Amino acid sequence: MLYGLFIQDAPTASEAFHGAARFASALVQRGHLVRQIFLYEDAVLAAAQALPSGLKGLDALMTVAQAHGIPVLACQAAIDRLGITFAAGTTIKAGSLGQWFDALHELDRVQGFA
Amino acid sequence: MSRVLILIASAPGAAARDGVDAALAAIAYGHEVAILLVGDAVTATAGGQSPQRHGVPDLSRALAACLHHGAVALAASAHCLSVRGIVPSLAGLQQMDAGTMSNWIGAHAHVHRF
Repeated sequence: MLYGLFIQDAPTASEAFHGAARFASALVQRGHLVRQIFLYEDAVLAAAQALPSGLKGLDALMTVAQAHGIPVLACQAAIDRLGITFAAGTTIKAGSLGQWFDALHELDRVQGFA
Repeated sequence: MSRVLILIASAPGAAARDGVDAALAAIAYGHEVAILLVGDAVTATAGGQSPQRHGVPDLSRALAACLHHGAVALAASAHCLSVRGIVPSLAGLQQMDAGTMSNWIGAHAHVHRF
Protein backbone atom coordinates (compact mmCIF):
# COMPACT_ATOMS: atom_id res chain seq x y z
CA MET A 1 0.00 0.00 0.00
CA LEU A 2 1.01 3.58 -0.58
CA TYR A 3 1.04 5.74 2.54
CA GLY A 4 1.41 9.42 3.38
CA LEU A 5 2.27 10.79 6.82
CA PHE A 6 0.94 14.14 8.01
CA ILE A 7 2.65 15.64 11.08
CA GLN A 8 1.26 18.66 12.94
CA ASP A 9 3.11 18.93 16.27
CA ALA A 10 6.48 20.57 16.85
CA PRO A 11 9.48 18.23 17.05
CA THR A 12 10.17 19.58 20.53
CA ALA A 13 6.63 19.29 21.88
CA SER A 14 5.36 15.75 21.67
CA GLU A 15 5.87 12.20 20.53
CA ALA A 16 4.59 12.98 17.03
CA PHE A 17 7.98 12.70 15.33
CA HIS A 18 8.92 9.59 17.32
CA GLY A 19 5.64 7.99 16.34
CA ALA A 20 5.97 8.95 12.71
CA ALA A 21 9.53 7.58 12.57
CA ARG A 22 8.51 4.26 14.10
CA PHE A 23 5.44 4.03 11.88
CA ALA A 24 7.40 4.81 8.69
CA SER A 25 10.06 2.29 9.63
CA ALA A 26 7.46 -0.42 10.29
CA LEU A 27 5.73 0.31 6.99
CA VAL A 28 8.83 -0.07 4.84
CA GLN A 29 9.88 -3.19 6.75
CA ARG A 30 6.53 -4.74 5.80
CA GLY A 31 6.91 -3.83 2.15
CA HIS A 32 4.70 -0.77 2.02
CA LEU A 33 5.74 2.49 0.40
CA VAL A 34 5.68 5.95 1.95
CA ARG A 35 5.07 8.50 -0.79
CA GLN A 36 5.45 11.68 1.26
CA ILE A 37 5.89 13.03 4.77
CA PHE A 38 4.20 16.40 5.10
CA LEU A 39 4.90 18.83 7.95
CA TYR A 40 2.14 21.29 8.78
CA GLU A 41 1.42 23.77 11.57
CA ASP A 42 4.14 23.65 14.29
CA ALA A 43 5.78 20.58 12.72
CA VAL A 44 7.48 22.87 10.19
CA LEU A 45 9.79 23.92 13.04
CA ALA A 46 11.70 20.77 12.11
CA ALA A 47 13.23 22.76 9.26
CA ALA A 48 14.21 25.73 11.42
CA GLN A 49 17.73 26.97 11.81
CA ALA A 50 17.22 27.78 15.48
CA LEU A 51 16.38 24.31 16.70
CA PRO A 52 18.11 22.45 19.50
CA SER A 53 20.24 19.54 18.36
CA GLY A 54 19.70 15.99 19.55
CA LEU A 55 15.96 15.79 18.95
CA LYS A 56 15.71 12.02 18.76
CA GLY A 57 12.29 11.87 17.13
CA LEU A 58 13.26 14.27 14.36
CA ASP A 59 16.63 12.57 13.85
CA ALA A 60 14.96 9.17 13.64
CA LEU A 61 12.40 10.39 11.13
CA MET A 62 15.01 12.01 8.89
CA THR A 63 17.13 8.87 9.05
CA VAL A 64 14.22 6.70 7.88
CA ALA A 65 13.27 9.23 5.20
CA GLN A 66 16.80 9.44 3.80
CA ALA A 67 17.35 5.69 3.91
CA HIS A 68 14.22 5.04 1.85
CA GLY A 69 14.15 8.15 -0.33
CA ILE A 70 10.97 9.52 1.22
CA PRO A 71 10.49 13.24 0.52
CA VAL A 72 9.83 15.39 3.60
CA LEU A 73 7.96 18.58 2.79
CA ALA A 74 7.27 21.51 5.12
CA CYS A 75 4.28 23.74 4.39
CA GLN A 76 5.53 27.07 3.05
CA ALA A 77 2.52 28.99 4.40
CA ALA A 78 3.16 27.65 7.92
CA ILE A 79 6.85 28.50 7.55
CA ASP A 80 5.95 32.06 6.62
CA ARG A 81 3.49 32.39 9.51
CA LEU A 82 6.14 31.27 12.00
CA GLY A 83 8.91 33.32 10.38
CA ILE A 84 11.24 30.36 10.09
CA THR A 85 14.66 30.49 8.49
CA PHE A 86 15.56 27.14 6.95
CA ALA A 87 18.50 25.35 8.54
CA ALA A 88 21.54 25.02 6.31
CA GLY A 89 21.92 21.51 4.98
CA THR A 90 18.47 20.27 5.92
CA THR A 91 16.95 17.77 3.52
CA ILE A 92 13.47 19.04 4.31
CA LYS A 93 12.00 20.89 1.34
CA ALA A 94 9.48 23.70 1.34
CA GLY A 95 6.19 22.52 -0.09
CA SER A 96 2.53 23.41 -0.21
CA LEU A 97 -0.73 21.95 0.96
CA GLY A 98 -1.41 21.55 -2.74
CA GLN A 99 1.43 19.05 -3.02
CA TRP A 100 -0.04 17.07 -0.14
CA PHE A 101 -3.57 17.02 -1.55
CA ASP A 102 -2.23 16.29 -5.04
CA ALA A 103 -0.38 13.27 -3.64
CA LEU A 104 -3.58 12.23 -1.86
CA HIS A 105 -5.02 11.17 -5.23
CA GLU A 106 -2.49 8.32 -5.27
CA LEU A 107 -2.38 7.38 -1.60
CA ASP A 108 -4.15 4.37 -0.18
CA ARG A 109 -3.81 5.50 3.42
CA VAL A 110 -2.80 8.60 5.32
CA GLN A 111 -1.75 8.70 8.95
CA GLY A 112 -1.71 11.85 11.04
CA PHE A 113 0.60 12.56 13.97
CA ALA A 114 -0.41 15.41 16.27
CA MET B 1 -10.62 12.03 -6.15
CA SER B 2 -10.93 11.02 -2.51
CA ARG B 3 -13.59 11.79 0.04
CA VAL B 4 -11.74 13.97 2.56
CA LEU B 5 -13.13 14.98 5.93
CA ILE B 6 -11.64 17.98 7.69
CA LEU B 7 -12.40 17.46 11.38
CA ILE B 8 -11.95 20.63 13.41
CA ALA B 9 -11.96 20.15 17.17
CA SER B 10 -10.15 23.22 18.43
CA ALA B 11 -11.67 26.58 19.32
CA PRO B 12 -11.49 29.29 16.66
CA GLY B 13 -7.80 30.13 16.38
CA ALA B 14 -4.68 29.19 14.47
CA ALA B 15 -5.31 25.43 14.33
CA ALA B 16 -8.90 25.86 13.19
CA ARG B 17 -7.81 28.31 10.49
CA ASP B 18 -5.19 25.79 9.36
CA GLY B 19 -8.07 23.32 8.99
CA VAL B 20 -9.96 25.75 6.77
CA ASP B 21 -6.81 26.29 4.67
CA ALA B 22 -6.47 22.53 4.30
CA ALA B 23 -10.13 22.23 3.27
CA LEU B 24 -9.73 24.89 0.59
CA ALA B 25 -6.54 23.27 -0.72
CA ALA B 26 -8.23 19.86 -0.88
CA ILE B 27 -11.17 21.35 -2.79
CA ALA B 28 -8.77 23.06 -5.20
CA TYR B 29 -7.13 19.71 -5.92
CA GLY B 30 -10.37 18.05 -6.83
CA HIS B 31 -11.26 16.14 -3.69
CA GLU B 32 -14.75 15.81 -2.29
CA VAL B 33 -14.40 17.72 0.96
CA ALA B 34 -16.65 17.85 4.00
CA ILE B 35 -16.05 19.71 7.24
CA LEU B 36 -17.11 18.57 10.69
CA LEU B 37 -16.95 20.76 13.80
CA VAL B 38 -16.76 19.10 17.19
CA GLY B 39 -15.73 20.20 20.67
CA ASP B 40 -14.91 23.87 21.06
CA ALA B 41 -14.84 24.35 17.29
CA VAL B 42 -18.63 24.60 17.34
CA THR B 43 -18.31 28.06 18.92
CA ALA B 44 -17.45 29.32 15.43
CA THR B 45 -21.08 28.76 14.43
CA ALA B 46 -22.55 31.18 16.95
CA GLY B 47 -23.87 34.44 15.59
CA GLY B 48 -23.12 37.97 16.72
CA GLN B 49 -19.36 37.60 16.95
CA SER B 50 -16.96 40.23 15.66
CA PRO B 51 -13.49 38.73 15.95
CA GLN B 52 -12.12 41.05 13.29
CA ARG B 53 -12.59 43.96 15.71
CA HIS B 54 -9.84 42.35 17.76
CA GLY B 55 -7.62 41.60 14.79
CA VAL B 56 -8.62 37.95 14.64
CA PRO B 57 -9.81 36.42 11.35
CA ASP B 58 -13.49 35.47 11.27
CA LEU B 59 -13.60 31.68 11.20
CA SER B 60 -17.35 31.51 10.57
CA ARG B 61 -16.93 33.50 7.36
CA ALA B 62 -14.05 31.25 6.33
CA LEU B 63 -16.23 28.19 6.92
CA ALA B 64 -19.04 29.71 4.88
CA ALA B 65 -16.49 30.38 2.13
CA CYS B 66 -15.61 26.68 2.07
CA LEU B 67 -19.22 25.87 1.19
CA HIS B 68 -19.15 28.58 -1.46
CA HIS B 69 -15.96 27.16 -2.96
CA GLY B 70 -17.25 23.62 -3.18
CA ALA B 71 -17.22 21.80 0.15
CA VAL B 72 -20.03 19.25 -0.08
CA ALA B 73 -21.09 19.59 3.55
CA LEU B 74 -20.48 21.55 6.72
CA ALA B 75 -21.68 19.87 9.87
CA ALA B 76 -21.42 20.28 13.63
CA SER B 77 -22.00 17.96 16.54
CA ALA B 78 -25.51 18.60 17.88
CA HIS B 79 -24.37 17.46 21.32
CA CYS B 80 -21.39 19.86 21.38
CA LEU B 81 -23.68 22.72 20.36
CA SER B 82 -26.29 21.79 22.94
CA VAL B 83 -23.95 21.51 25.94
CA ARG B 84 -22.50 24.93 25.09
CA GLY B 85 -25.95 26.49 24.67
CA ILE B 86 -25.15 27.57 21.12
CA VAL B 87 -27.86 28.12 18.55
CA PRO B 88 -25.90 28.15 15.30
CA SER B 89 -26.48 30.92 12.81
CA LEU B 90 -24.13 29.68 10.11
CA ALA B 91 -25.98 29.19 6.82
CA GLY B 92 -25.83 25.68 5.40
CA LEU B 93 -24.72 24.05 8.66
CA GLN B 94 -26.03 20.55 9.38
CA GLN B 95 -26.38 19.36 12.96
CA MET B 96 -25.50 15.72 13.52
CA ASP B 97 -26.14 13.32 16.35
CA ALA B 98 -23.39 10.95 17.49
CA GLY B 99 -24.58 7.95 15.49
CA THR B 100 -24.91 9.86 12.24
CA MET B 101 -21.54 11.49 12.83
CA SER B 102 -19.86 8.14 13.41
CA ASN B 103 -21.22 6.69 10.17
CA TRP B 104 -20.34 9.86 8.29
CA ILE B 105 -16.73 9.84 9.49
CA GLY B 106 -16.42 6.19 8.50
CA ALA B 107 -17.64 6.98 4.99
CA HIS B 108 -14.63 9.19 4.28
CA ALA B 109 -11.40 7.79 2.87
CA HIS B 110 -9.19 10.29 4.66
CA VAL B 111 -9.73 12.31 7.83
CA HIS B 112 -7.53 15.27 8.76
CA ARG B 113 -7.93 16.55 12.32
CA PHE B 114 -7.20 20.10 13.46
